[in-house]
Amino acid sequence: MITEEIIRGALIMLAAMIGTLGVAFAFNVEKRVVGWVLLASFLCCVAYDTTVALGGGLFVASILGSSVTTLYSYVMARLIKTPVTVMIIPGIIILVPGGKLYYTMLGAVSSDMEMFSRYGKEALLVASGLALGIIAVTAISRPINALLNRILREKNNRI
Amino acid sequence: MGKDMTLDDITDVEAKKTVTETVISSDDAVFIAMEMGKRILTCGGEVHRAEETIRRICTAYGAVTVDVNAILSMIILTADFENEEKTSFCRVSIGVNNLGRLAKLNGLSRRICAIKPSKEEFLALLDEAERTSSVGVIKQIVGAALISLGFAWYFGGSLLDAALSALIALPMWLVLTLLSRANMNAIVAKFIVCFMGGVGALLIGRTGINCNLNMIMIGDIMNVVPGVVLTNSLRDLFGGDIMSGLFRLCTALLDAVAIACGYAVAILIFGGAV
Repeated sequence: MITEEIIRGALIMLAAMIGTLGVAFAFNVEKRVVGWVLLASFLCCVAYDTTVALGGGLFVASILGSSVTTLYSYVMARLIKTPVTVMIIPGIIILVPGGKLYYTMLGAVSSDMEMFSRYGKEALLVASGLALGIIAVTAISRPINALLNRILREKNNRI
Repeated sequence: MGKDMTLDDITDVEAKKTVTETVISSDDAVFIAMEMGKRILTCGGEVHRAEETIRRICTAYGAVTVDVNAILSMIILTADFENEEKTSFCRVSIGVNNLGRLAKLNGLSRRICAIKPSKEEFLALLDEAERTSSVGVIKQIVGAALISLGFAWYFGGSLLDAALSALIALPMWLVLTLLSRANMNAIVAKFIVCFMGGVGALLIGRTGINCNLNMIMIGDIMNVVPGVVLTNSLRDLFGGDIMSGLFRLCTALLDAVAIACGYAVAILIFGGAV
């Protein structure tokens, strides 16, 4: 039973990785960065799906997923010297509520108001969670980045 | 430093050296900065990054004060090069997202600040950066197929659904590329492509193959869904670039409406999806 769950989870991760790889190809992410981008997406997927599986709710799951990925992206972007956007965009793509938007549209088309409002609300929740996660990490990263730059500059001056 | 002053007018060796070092005119410096800013915006960079790049390049070329304001469709710059003020303005048209090029341009801007190339040297460097970061057709096709394959599977479809979704993604991508090359309105192009995707999936449904049409369509939607625009819009908004953030947000919403309408029309014509 538990192994079945683990295999199912692993397959979902694999699917997410394939999708992210596609995004990395389509947006022409550099080869040396692709591996790190896949790891970003993996972290996002783990944070989001685990929270949902544990009953944390879509909103919290989405905040956790996007903030973990954004935090990782900021750190990695500094280490491997690439713009943060290059890491965040493919990394976070699995949180984009494409499926929920589709069902919202389907609900509207087939006059199923229950489906329309349910998925519409879910899509809004996930999208706003995604935004909040990015925003929160970006807000704290700016002063930290400035501080790091100052420390590095002082270190260089001393040498 | 006056405009009319030439190297021969200066006897002081030290002063001569300074002039030789800053022989690149402020016009060229502004040109280089603007080109870099424009390209960063075009390939999907944030407004904040474009402004910062322009500011750094101008400062590297000797500008004392740099005032730059970029929104997604234009950049305005005024740079003060020791009593010589230059103002420049350019219109930016948003292109295809190319994160590899963004990284290359980012590296190039650091290099420009370090080596301060002349206009000709800069154009050669820029050409090289753009040439090495252009994205091949095959790579894009594979990317589009992988996106549909991966996400149709991720959102709960079977492997068959995922494969069919990837199959439909190929003509969708092809038509989208052709339409954008033919300068078709981006929103109408997305509508047409999504309509095609919907029709393709529903036709597959008619053949009686045991598949989940919703999953096939979701996989294809992920190819056109404005995820990048939405993410960048939020980053711009929160970074204080309200205009650009709203600009991108509107684009994302219009795209989402176009996508929904495309699929909706297909479903309505075929009389229901499931």
